[in-house]
This record gives sequence, structure tokens and C-alpha cells, in this order.
Amino acid sequence: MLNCQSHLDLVEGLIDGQAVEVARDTTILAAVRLLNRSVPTLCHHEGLPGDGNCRLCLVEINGRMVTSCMYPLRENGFVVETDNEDIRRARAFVLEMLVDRCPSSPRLMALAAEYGVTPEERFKGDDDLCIRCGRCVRACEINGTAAIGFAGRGAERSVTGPFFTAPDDCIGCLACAAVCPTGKIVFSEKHGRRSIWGREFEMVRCCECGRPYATPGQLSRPEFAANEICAQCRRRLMAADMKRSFTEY
Amino acid sequence: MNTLLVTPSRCIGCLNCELACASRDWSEHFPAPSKIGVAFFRDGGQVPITCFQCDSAPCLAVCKTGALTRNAQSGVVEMKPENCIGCRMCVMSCPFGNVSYSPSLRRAVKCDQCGGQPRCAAACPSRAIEFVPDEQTVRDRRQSFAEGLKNALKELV
Repeated sequence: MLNCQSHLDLVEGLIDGQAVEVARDTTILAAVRLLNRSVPTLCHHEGLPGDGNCRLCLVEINGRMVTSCMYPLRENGFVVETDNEDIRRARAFVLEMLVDRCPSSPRLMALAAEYGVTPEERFKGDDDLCIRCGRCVRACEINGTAAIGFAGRGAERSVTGPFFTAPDDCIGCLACAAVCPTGKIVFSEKHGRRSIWGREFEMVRCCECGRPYATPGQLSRPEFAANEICAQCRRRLMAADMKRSFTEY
Repeated sequence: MNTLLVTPSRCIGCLNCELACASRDWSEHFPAPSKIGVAFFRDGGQVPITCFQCDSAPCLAVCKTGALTRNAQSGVVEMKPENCIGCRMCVMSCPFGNVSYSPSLRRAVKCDQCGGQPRCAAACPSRAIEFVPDEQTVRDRRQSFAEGLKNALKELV
């Protein structure tokens, strides 16, 4: 086929009055961001599937309020609004709940200030940084580990290993900590030991320099078996090879 | 198409490439998080080394979130920072240690040849790192190999 465009299955509609054409099944959030318009998000991560947990990305499509990170654009003639009185009110309410749960998160407080929300004491004595966005859970899942997950319902919902124990399957890759938007997930790494989620890992030491560089779980994949050397030393050895091959001629 | 060509014998160890590289993601001139690294050897000599953009790239194969993608035009394995979840699988998989993890950015970092205008090559004062057309790299290498042969033969005769 000559025209590559014709392969694409497109849908068209309006976003804040601007005509757009996007591939079918693009989420509203992705379409809105294509236009460089902003929608606040907390649980959304570009590398992870949408989950609609934080409810901050609310927008209106054809007059109906939906979470934009989950809603695929499938039909022509959609009319999306990303900012109006109703939407701001809905987002402010979500934010009220979120900042009451964790008033010590700077990122949340900044968002709350933007929407004119001040924290009240709703959940007494409960200053929990975790907002149950589930980024960590999704990151663990997509990585093929699925060591942590949600347990409980409502106010008791929490992220934990199975049956509130330290997760046996955890490999200590720290992806959960890297994607956490509030900094709730903490880990420590010293004297060749890494701890996270109540687990402690004796780290593998590099055969070249002796520095601890990864957990046994991280290296358990067959394709990494040859890498008993840390990344820095691998690079140095490669450089040494290059030097040798260049000086031979 | 251009190739990032490294000629270790020309490297003078000034580390301008590291600084130029690091200053792209960090406003400070601090070479530690650089994507290109110069290895120094006790017996003399230094080799600048960065991602080889492997044809069958292990980092690309292990990335589950689409953070690493290959640019169909340039063949460069590029990084979409917003997709990276910091799982470090690419760091583990690279046979040459050319992908690293940045604790401050909370994601993996790797060379993407600055989208076609590599700063390291621009910053190199001694042409140890060059960004040159493919055909020229082959020609240059052939020339330098021939010169080496010529010198070796001279010693024999």
C-alpha cells in the first residue's frame, strides 16, 4: 500500500474546542498531552498500564466525567473538556481526601495549593505517605516479579507482601521505590546489604572490583548469568579490549 | 547515516566528553553521571567508551515498559525517560556496562547520541570521538590499518 497513513485507524473529535485526530484506542490523557495541555496525575506512569487509582485526571467526555488515563477514544465526534468548574470541583474533592491522608507530601501539597485545598484532620493521626496509587504494584507486576500487591478495602487498603508478610518473591530491584510518587517506599543499602519491604538481601559482589552491585534475584535471569561483573568493570574491561586491539596494529 | 567513531589512540584524557555529556541532563558540570566514560589504564593510554547501539541489543530485549526503543532511521537505541520504571534490568543486561542507573533521576541513563548531534564529539578537542558518515569510518579504519601494516613490514625488511 502506498499511503502509510491509511494503515492507521484514526478517530477525530474536539479537545477543549481544538480539533484533533488520534489513533483509535488512544487514551484521553495521551491525546490531551499530545496537545501539550496539562491534566494532573499521580498514579499515571507512561511505562505502566493505566489503573485509574488516584482519580485526579478527571475530564469530561460528551458531558460525562471519566478518568482520562483509562478512557480509550473509540468513536468519532468526541467532545472532551479538560478544565471547567465541575472538573475543578471534582479534582479538588479528590485532592482534599489525598492531602488529609498525607499532609507531609510536598508534591501533594503543591497540587492542593493549586486547587485551593487546605488539609483538615479527616483521618485522625494518619499521616501516611502512601496514596494507594499502585504504581509500585504495577511496576512489580510488569517486571515479572509481582511480589507486592494490594490488601484490604477502603481506608484499610494497603500495599504489602502476601498476608502482610515480607514478600518472598521480591528480588530487591527497587523499581517500586523508583516509581513511587510520594517517596513512601524506602530502602537502604550499606555494607553490601540492601533492604526493602522487610527483606534483606546479601548483595552479589563484582568479581573484578569486589563492590556489591546487585541482588542475587536481579541476576537470576538466565540472560544475565554471564554478568558476574559490575557495569563499571564491564565497561572498563571493554575499554581494555579496545585498547589492546588498537595498539596491536 | 553517521556513526559515533572512537579512536582511542587520539584520546588525550581531558574528559571534556564526560562533562559535555553530563551537562545535558544535569545543569552542573559533574562528570559522574555521564553516559560516555573514559577508562584510564595504569600502563598508559585511555579509551573513551559509550553505548555501541548493538543491532541485537540486550537492553532493548529486557525493557518491558517501552522506555527503550530503536530509532528506525538512525538505528540508535533511545530512551524515553517518562516510561522508565527504574527496574535496572537494562543495566544488568548490557554486556559492556554502557547503561547506568541514576539515583538522582531515578531512572536508567544511556547514550542516545544526543538525537543526532552528539555533544561528546563536539567537545572532543583531539578528534578521538567523531561523528562521521558510515562510509568514512570504514575508509579511515582501512587507511589506519594499512599504515600499521606498512610500518610492520618496514621493520621486517
